[in-house]
Amino acid sequence: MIALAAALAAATPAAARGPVDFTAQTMRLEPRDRRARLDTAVRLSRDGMVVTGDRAVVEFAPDEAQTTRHRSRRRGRDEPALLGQSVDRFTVNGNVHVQRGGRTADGAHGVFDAKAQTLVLTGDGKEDPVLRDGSETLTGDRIVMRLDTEDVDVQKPRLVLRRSVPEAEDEPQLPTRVEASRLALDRSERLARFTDDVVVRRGDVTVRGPRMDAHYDTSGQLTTLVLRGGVELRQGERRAVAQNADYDARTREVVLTGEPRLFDRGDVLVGERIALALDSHEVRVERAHGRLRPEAHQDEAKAGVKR
Amino acid sequence: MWSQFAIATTAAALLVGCGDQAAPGSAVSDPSPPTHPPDVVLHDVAFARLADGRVTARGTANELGYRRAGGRLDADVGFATLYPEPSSGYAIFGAVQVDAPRAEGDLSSKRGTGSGGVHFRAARGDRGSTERILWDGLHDELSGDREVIASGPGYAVRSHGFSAHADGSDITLTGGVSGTLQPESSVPGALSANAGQTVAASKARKR
Repeated sequence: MIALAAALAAATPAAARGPVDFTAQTMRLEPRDRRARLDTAVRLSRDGMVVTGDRAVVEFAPDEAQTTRHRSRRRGRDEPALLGQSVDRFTVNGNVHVQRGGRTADGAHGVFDAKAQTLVLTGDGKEDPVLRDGSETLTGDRIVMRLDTEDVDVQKPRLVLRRSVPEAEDEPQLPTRVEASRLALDRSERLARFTDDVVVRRGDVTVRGPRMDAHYDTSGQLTTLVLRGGVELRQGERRAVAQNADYDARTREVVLTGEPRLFDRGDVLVGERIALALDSHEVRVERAHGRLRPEAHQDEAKAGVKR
Repeated sequence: MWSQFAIATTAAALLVGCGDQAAPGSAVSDPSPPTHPPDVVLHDVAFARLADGRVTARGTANELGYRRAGGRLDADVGFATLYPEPSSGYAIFGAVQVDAPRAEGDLSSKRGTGSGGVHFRAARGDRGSTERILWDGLHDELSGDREVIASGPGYAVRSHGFSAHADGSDITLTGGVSGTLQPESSVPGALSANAGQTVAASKARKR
């Protein structure tokens, strides 16, 4: 994820509003419908971004002067339009592929909105659109690529953070998966902001919260995950709640603050700060007080459960 | 729009009283050069086409030959100004000037060809050219099988052929198309055509 956001942050410069070059096998102009259809092997390119697909529709914007002139007597009907009119949007359908710098995206449908300066990728109901940057792969219900800032918004993102946590060579690779209702990648802040029903999974650890910011360094590596607004962490039968959680990618430690509480079978620990090491499962509680029930953990000693 | 050029050229013959003599024609224009001299040759032809009380096209030709057999017309250095109907798909262009070194047509089969390099220039600023265009009056269609190059405000396009309904309801560029569009181009509205009335004038010489 970090790499993704960093790459998004550091990739090509912000797009200028240059012309769109296009190729296709045929181009059918339909002036009365104010559109042009491009068919077969469609390729659109603009300012370093290339979009290919099976077919595309170019929709022309209403002519302001004509619209005003005829509005009263031609209500509900636009004037015909041909090449040379301003373009409202390009809609590309079928095997849509987007290339922009080192980033690629694929989907079933792509809509380039000239006014909003966005490219919206959606799937076909069976497969979701995919955004790739290096080894990072992001899927979601809807991917909105902002062409003027290179920021990306994703609805219902599903992200595998392969490079976010450097694993020891002798340990199994544990991908970190993030789901949320929405993801916004902010290029200038090197920030990935997940909001609404954020779920982070790594091995047997699950963290839930209403929002999470992932921060990246200049090389595209994840530095911290910051969760706010009430957090719940589960690891096996262990559960912790707090107002805040901060994950340090370097130490792979989660620090809970804001009335943190740790529940582990019969044990209940409360402190100012609870730190959980994800790899060693070690827990440190500062200014701890609580209730311990050793008898509830006897089977762990027999089974050799790692604590 | 293109058909208006063919129609206008044909109309020039009709206006001087030859069109009603057309013999029953074949379904397809004879592409071979005519072996017999024209029955009528008009020099320095000026013509206008009127429809519903308005001039839809007017133009000139250096020479216009007419053969009764097949109802064939041949024009040299044709030039026409077309005034698209406001409701047509071509209205956005405004007045359009079209020229072609050669124009041929069959009144009977309602087919025609403009060749030798057909150029158009529109009041809006559009320009284009192709080697030749074909008009099929029976189907009210235009087509071309040679490279088409066109440009205008905020766009440029190139293809290897085209087909179009004469009323401009759709135009298809075929054979591989490429071009450039400026999404945020600001295009002035189409200039309205000032359709002054023109009458056909010619110097006829009967052979």
